[in-house]
Amino acid sequence: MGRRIMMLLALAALLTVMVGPVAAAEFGAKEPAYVPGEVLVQFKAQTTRATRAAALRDHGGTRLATLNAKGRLVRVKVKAGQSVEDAVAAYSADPRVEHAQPNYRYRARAVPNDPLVPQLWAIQNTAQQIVTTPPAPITRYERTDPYAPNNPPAGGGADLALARAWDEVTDCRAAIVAVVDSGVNFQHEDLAANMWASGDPAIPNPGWDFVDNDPDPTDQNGHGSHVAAIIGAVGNNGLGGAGVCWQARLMAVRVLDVLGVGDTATIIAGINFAAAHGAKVINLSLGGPAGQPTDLAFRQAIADAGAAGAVVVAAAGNEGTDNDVSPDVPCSFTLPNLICVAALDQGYALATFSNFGATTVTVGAPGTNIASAWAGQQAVVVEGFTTGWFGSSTTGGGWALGVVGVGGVPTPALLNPPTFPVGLYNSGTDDRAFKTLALGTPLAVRLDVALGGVVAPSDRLNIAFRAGAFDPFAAGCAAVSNCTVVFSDFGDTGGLAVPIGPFDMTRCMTDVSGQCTLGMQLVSAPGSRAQGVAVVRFDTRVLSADPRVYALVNGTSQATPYVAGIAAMVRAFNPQYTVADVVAAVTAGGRPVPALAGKTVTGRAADAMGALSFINAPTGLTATVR
Amino acid sequence: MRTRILKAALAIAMLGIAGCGGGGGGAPAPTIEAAPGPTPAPTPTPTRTVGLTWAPNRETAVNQPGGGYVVFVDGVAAATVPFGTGPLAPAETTAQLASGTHTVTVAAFSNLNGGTTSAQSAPVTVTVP
Repeated sequence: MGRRIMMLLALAALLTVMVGPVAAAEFGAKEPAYVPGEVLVQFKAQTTRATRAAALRDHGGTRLATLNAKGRLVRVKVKAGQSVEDAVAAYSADPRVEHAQPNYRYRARAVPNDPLVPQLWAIQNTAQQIVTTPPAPITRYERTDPYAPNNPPAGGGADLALARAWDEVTDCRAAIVAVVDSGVNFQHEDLAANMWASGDPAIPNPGWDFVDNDPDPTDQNGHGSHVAAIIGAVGNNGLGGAGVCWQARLMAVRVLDVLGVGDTATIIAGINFAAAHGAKVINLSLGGPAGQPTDLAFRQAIADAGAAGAVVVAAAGNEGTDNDVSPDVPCSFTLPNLICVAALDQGYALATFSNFGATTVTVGAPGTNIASAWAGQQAVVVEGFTTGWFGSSTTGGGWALGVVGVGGVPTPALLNPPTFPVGLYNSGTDDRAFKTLALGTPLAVRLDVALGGVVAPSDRLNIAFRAGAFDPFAAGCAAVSNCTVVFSDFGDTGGLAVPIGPFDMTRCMTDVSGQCTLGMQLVSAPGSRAQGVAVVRFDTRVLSADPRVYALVNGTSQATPYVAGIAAMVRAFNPQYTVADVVAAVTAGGRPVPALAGKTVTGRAADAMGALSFINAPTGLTATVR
Repeated sequence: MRTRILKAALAIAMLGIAGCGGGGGGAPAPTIEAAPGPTPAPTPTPTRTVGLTWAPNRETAVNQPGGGYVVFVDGVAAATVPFGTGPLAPAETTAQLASGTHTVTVAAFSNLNGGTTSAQSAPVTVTVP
């Protein structure tokens, strides 16, 4: 009998082959929603223990457990070969049974408890409005860059499907992600646990600083920390937000300076370091048009990283232009291991600032109103031009504090000549004005200047700093490493007050006193005179270390790490994946978005669940007649 | 009933596919015997065993419970080759194919795909004498 049943079952299975095509839906069905081979049976109140045992015998079932005190709810192993559906039907039809059901499966909902998560629309877009006041206990954003269109969107759902993907994987530690950027606040409360460790005493911190060529890749800008936490903010720790990867190994590679600027040599050094130290994903939220098409060194570094097993994800750019027409580096290199990312807003429209390119930009991802970690506290010391200035002049003229009109508004200013805009500065003069600030030991200091006026071509307006309380224009300044002239020029602003800079003043903070002296110098040639200068802004922006700060920022720089995070997730989930596999999963697994059709190569937005569930077509099929 | 069984047995003779090898695989295919009966069996179409192999997919989910492959013969999903045990789903199987020319492809599936498969592999044409 047993053999006959086996035979019939086998025949039934094989008959399917003959009857017709097997519906694709039968393959790869979702994990069963209930436990195979088990049912739960609730017997009627009047049944006895013996009755219930007899019922199980009659159905060929085996009692696995009694689930309530009265013994009427029983977990049953169904008879061999019986499906759960058939068993439920059979038990339900039994007059001794009140009801029968599958033993359903449930799982913990993978929604992290981090306070920022309800504002992270890229994770789950519920059409929430993104506000500039962060949820408690976060007290404020260090920077806010609100983006109005589609905030809130007309409807929800435009997101990365991370809530679903997190049911499958939250741990990306199998794939090191290098953030090649301005460094990372690697002591941040939401990043520290997810930083890479080299295991090499020569690399004591989680990365390297190629700007200053030292082992400390601390972020002195904010950009890199924001990017890093989008990829790998520690999830479900009750702090900050949650990255695409709740657990990660983030490598901090500093190639951009305090002002967020880097060069080819520094950037490729960072890429090479990342690839050499095992990065499987390299995030490049940087770029520009400068090196296209001749920056072959940059291109080769990305190609080499691919050969070493790394996918490189790069930002499309924030000029709102077509990269197919105006190429942008590195996105326009179109290498097989390079994914270029445009920014989408909360309604999955292309962000107004986002570059695009039907042949050069690969996918889109959320890039507006993105909350994430930041480098530290930011403070602005606004110069009021009232006190603290010292001056000198070789001709008895020089700088003076006064007031000028800017757009019709009386504005305090530093003036040379003191009668500006009336009169002329002296010829053959060396006029200096400087002020010493006590700024402590911040991470970074930058200077923002605005001025107007005319300086003759034979003359120079200089801006300089020097650590400590010293004249930054004193003879020999150039020989002192922390005494630097950051600006030296002439010109005519056309009657307008124009911004210049910003200038990186961080090296000014190297004096033990925590003091920095900043100054202006007007040097004129003999016989040369002109209208002179009114300095109306001379503000210092100070970034101080803080492991608990966040910011709300827009950009393709923010869209890029979402894709990098998904790439890391895919790579970690599929350890056998090649670079090409990861690229295929991220691109082909994306979600078609109308706004990206004709604007990107794929017309798709990255989708975490789509990338995870992507399957390559099998290869290498052979058939041999025997 | 006997006739059904007999027809089924013939069907198996024409196109029987069973997963095997590849580091995993399910139970061996049961022995099939023609059932006795009064009705004379029609002349079976000549068939040959065709061995099919392909490169294992690198997706983790393909090589886990709920994953595996589906083999298409002449555009028809003919059989599944599910993951069994071991590190990989079987990447080989055999088919009993009738005389003639057939086109064979294979696609992969996993429990993450909600009932869909990967794209099909590049087709292989096999001529059974």
